[in-house]
Amino acid sequence: MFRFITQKIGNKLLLTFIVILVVVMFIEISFRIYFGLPDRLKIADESNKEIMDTIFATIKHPLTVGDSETIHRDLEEIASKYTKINVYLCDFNKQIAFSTDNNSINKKIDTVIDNKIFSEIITEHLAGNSEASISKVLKVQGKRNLISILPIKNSPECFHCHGSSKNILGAMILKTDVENVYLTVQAQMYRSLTLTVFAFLLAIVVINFVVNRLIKKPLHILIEATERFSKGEMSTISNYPKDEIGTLCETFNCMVNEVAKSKMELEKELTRRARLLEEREELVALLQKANQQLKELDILKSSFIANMSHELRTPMNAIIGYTDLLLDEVDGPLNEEQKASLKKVAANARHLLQLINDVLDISKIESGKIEIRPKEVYLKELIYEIIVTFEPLLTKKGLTFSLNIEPGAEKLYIDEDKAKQIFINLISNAVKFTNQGGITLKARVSERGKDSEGNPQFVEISVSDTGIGIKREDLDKIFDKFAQADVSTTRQYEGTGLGLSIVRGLVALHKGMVWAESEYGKGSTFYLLLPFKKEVFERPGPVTEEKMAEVLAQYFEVPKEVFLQNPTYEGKLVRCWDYTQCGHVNCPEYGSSEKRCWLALGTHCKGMKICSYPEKTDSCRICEVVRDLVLHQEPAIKEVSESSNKEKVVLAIDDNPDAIDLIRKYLEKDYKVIGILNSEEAAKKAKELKPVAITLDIMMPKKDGWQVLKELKSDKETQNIPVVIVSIIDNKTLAFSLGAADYFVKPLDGHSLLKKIKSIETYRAVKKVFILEKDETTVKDLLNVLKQTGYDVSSTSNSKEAIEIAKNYKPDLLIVNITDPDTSAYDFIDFIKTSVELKDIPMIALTDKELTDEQKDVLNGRIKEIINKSLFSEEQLITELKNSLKKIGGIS
Amino acid sequence: MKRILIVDDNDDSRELVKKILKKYDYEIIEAIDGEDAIAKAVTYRPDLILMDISIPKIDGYEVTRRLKARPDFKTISIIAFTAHAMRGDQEKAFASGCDGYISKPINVREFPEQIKVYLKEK
Repeated sequence: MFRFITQKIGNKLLLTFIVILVVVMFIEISFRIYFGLPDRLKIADESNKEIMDTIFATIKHPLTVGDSETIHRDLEEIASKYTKINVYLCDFNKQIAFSTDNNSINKKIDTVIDNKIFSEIITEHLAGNSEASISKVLKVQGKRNLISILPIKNSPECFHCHGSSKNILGAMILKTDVENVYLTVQAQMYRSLTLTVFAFLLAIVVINFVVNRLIKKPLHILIEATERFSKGEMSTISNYPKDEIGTLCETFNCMVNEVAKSKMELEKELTRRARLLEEREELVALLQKANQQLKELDILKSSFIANMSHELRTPMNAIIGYTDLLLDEVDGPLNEEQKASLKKVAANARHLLQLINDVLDISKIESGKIEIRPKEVYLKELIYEIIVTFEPLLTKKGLTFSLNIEPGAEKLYIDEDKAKQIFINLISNAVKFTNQGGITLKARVSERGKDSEGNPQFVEISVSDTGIGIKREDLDKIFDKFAQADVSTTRQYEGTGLGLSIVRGLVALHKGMVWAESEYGKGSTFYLLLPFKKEVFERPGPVTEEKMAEVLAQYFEVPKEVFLQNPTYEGKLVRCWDYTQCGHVNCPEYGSSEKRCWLALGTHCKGMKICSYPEKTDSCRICEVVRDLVLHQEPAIKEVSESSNKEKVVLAIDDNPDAIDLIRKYLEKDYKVIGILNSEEAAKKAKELKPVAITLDIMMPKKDGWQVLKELKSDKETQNIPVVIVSIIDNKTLAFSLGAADYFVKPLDGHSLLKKIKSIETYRAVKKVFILEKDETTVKDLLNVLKQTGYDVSSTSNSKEAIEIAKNYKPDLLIVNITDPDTSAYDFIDFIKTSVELKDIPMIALTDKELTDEQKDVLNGRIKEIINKSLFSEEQLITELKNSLKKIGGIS
Repeated sequence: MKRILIVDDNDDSRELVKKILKKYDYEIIEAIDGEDAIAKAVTYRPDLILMDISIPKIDGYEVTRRLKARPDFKTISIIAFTAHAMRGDQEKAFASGCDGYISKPINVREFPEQIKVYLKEK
């Protein structure tokens, strides 16, 4: 009820009005009663008095003279004039002498006006105790009457009859019926109440109408609109009044418009973002695919390099060898001209060899195939070792060589072979371009590349010459491939143009740097930074340099501590921060303004190269690649569990060793991958190794994958081994028709491959075999074969013993000859099948003759395979047994 | 007379070695692939084997491994003789059981000396 009121504003207003109305009415009625009645009584009283005075004046004289007739007449006159008024004249004995009511004459006044109070008052008056006239409302015969008493005093003119002893001779009593005065007041009160109720009802109706019209209706519109709005409908309010609620509606409309506008914008933005996300995902997928292809290409490239190396060097062997033999005059003397020509052949062949070596070197550096094995190396000894080979040339050109190693720079921590290559390149360049003067090699502890505590880690080595020098504009180019400063110098000064590129690559591998200063025409100096601290190479996964961590943190919007302390990002191991400086003088690590990424060289992310060589890439792009390719890869932390699964062999047939390597990497957690490069050996190997699965390439020299597959599937021994094709060509139809288990098109998705192999490989290892067989030759043969294949074998010829052995030995497979003269073999089988521990062990039955139907019935359900020895030769028997083993092994 | 087995599928390479070593007093036997190499090695029991690595049928590493697995070949020097000059090739050669390593192209003037050293070592 109260809720009904409190929840509706109209009801609240109504209630307030009603309360006010009730209060006002109550006050009005109270006033009417409080003030209205006395007023009216007063009027009646006054008219009584007036009448009394009039009557008294009229009858005074007759009274005095005793003219009763006149008095009666006068009173009758009054009675006819005032119907509601009774006048009584009584003497001091209360006896009524005259009256307008003739019936009451001679009666006692207090019997006529039967009221206790009145009789007291009249007694008092007539006793002469009170002379004043008095008026009082008294109830007489159930009716209210205004009774006025006027004592009639004794006066001289009355003495002649009444004497002077009495003060009061009698009293005139006027009885006026005032019942109707009360009734009038009551009637008025009722009228007021009726009015109140009427006003009340009117007020309800009017207020309700007003509230409805002015407040409720507009409010309801507003509420409806708000509800619609809350449901997401963006409709405005069209009809609204011009008052405060109207203002509210207007405001609401404004709000709706604003919200609708921003909602629309938001939706637009959302669509835009979704599109961006899609595009980004596409891009990531594309990049991932590209990355995969790059990996494949990388493998191809490295195998190409290896092959190139071999293929180019083989003919060089013959060219140089035979030329030298001729020059040595093994086949007889040569004339000078022939000799000179042959020397040119030899020199050019050697140059070609150098070129080949350099190209291979640079390829290896670029593809990240070079590893360095740093150790402590004494610089002085290293330089002496090198300079010996240059001595003849130095002497010939009349050049000096001086070495100046400052304290602290004696020992380096470098790869000796690579360092030699670096110094040979630099010194040979110096010697080559210097015709007079000399070459100086200086070494001192460098101020550059200090560790986080400010301790130096690098030695700065300079190789200066007094040669032709390098033009300023060429200084930056000289480290690029095939860039001798001046094209003309290539002719003049023989060289491959790769030397300095190799130097830069090798120095970078040492996390150092190389740069050159030169004054054209006066000489050049090449500076190197090489480490002398082991720690340079022991950089942990995360970045340890503040500056780099800052750059990365800024890019990934994470605190730099992430990269300084913890090598993970979003739960993924970030390994790519094992970086080196690019080895270029403009590396930002050393405060250069040129944007050249120092993440580049040797940057591997989970084995993936971001960039293999300090190319001119700015850091941002690399970071982007890092983010998309590296950070989106699955968690790098994997448990390396050494399980028995390792025993499972997967045979990978591919003419490319690196492709096999890749498959091995994908599967090595669960399988031992044995690779075969020569497809002709595939079938043989498959028989030998009994792999759980085979991966097979198609494009192979000599024998292609299709032939291998046909061969595998036509041989009883290998036909059950699942073969997964992994090839660059896509011909699934042919593959499946030939019996392949699955087909993967390169680039290979390692995860899918592993998953596939796992699903098709249901090999359950049979390791222990128990044989019950009386024929010694068969036992011997079986033992031989099974032990060779790697099974643990136990045997007996006694059925009773067999039970005991089987219980203790717990074999994975039983081979039982059931053609015993007695039926003990059947007893053994029955025992096995009732034993809780042994009943699930598969059994192969050997027989010497065809089984009877009865025997077959007995064995039915207990034996996996029955082999009739008499049907096979010894060799065939073994093959048959192997097949059975394989079937039981579970290969589907 | 010391007996040397040259295993190489490249005829020119074999000829070159033969020619270089002609003036020295060696008996030269040739093998052109892995199987041939094993057969010849077992038959002729040379004092030194120059083993090219990239040869058909069975590669040089495998031939070396198989030969070195036999007790009677423990004392016979097998020298890897290859144009594979990548880092790691040498290690692979030694790992398979080779006693030495001569990379191609050979140095005609130093080659006889190298052979002499390897022959003497055993």
